[in-house]
Amino acid sequence: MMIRKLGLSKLFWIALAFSYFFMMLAMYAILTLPNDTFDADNAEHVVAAVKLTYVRLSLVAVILVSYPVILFSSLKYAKYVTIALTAWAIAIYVDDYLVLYRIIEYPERGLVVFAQLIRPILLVSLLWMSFELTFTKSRAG
Amino acid sequence: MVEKKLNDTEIAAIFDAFVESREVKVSPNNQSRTFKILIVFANVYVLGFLLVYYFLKNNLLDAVDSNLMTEEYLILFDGRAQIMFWLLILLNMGAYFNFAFKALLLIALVYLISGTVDTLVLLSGLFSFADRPYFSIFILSRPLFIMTLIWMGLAFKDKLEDH
Repeated sequence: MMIRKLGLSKLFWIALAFSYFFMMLAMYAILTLPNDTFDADNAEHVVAAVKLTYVRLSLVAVILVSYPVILFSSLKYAKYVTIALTAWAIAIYVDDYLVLYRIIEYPERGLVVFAQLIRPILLVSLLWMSFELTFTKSRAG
Repeated sequence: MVEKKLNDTEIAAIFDAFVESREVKVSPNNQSRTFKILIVFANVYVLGFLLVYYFLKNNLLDAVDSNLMTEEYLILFDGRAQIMFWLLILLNMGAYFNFAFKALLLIALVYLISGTVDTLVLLSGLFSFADRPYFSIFILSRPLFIMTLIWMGLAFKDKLEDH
């Protein structure tokens, strides 16, 4: 009932569900890393990546809890928050692949590799959510 | 009762009547003095540090921070410098044409905060601020630059908003 009241498309909710799935998968993959992860030759780079991911995940944890509250209380603020989160997700994606690629290296665990593989879909989902919240002006305006 | 509708000529005339006021709002001259000072400061800040970075990279300044002049960290600083340069160009264009400025500002702000946190996390424990003057000034002055960007966003007059 509350969901219908917001008047957002099914695609928006699918994108939101995917974003939640991705963030929880990333948290699970990093928090349950096996002990032998840091035994690799490039251990320093893996440690740097994990350290960075811990900092980022602490913000993700806050987002997971607070986003529904913002979305259901004000579409206007949800729009700004979503745009900021999209900008952040794109910024860290660009950073990881264009700036930090010589300093960090994500663990070669299957789940982490899978999360990296579907990361562009997260960006597409967030972009869709940002555009939808921006262009449904009558409700989000 | 006959329903009167506007023809194309009349609609064009109505649009023309608002063109002048739109141009006044879009013009960079319409921005406040505070905004102009802030955008000049932002340009000087970014270009100043880009200059210092390129001088250091090309050995034109004494590299006090020899540990930070390794290839890996140079790639990191180079990437950040390139991205900040293009963000600055986009911000200036956005401000001049009064188009998507606030969205660009938000992106720049998010990138700046994220980049600062990432740099601090990655480099924490590797250096002391006292030993590395250029880098320390750059990191320690970041909050000032972040505040400038936030103030710019608040001082900016958007063409779509009624002032």
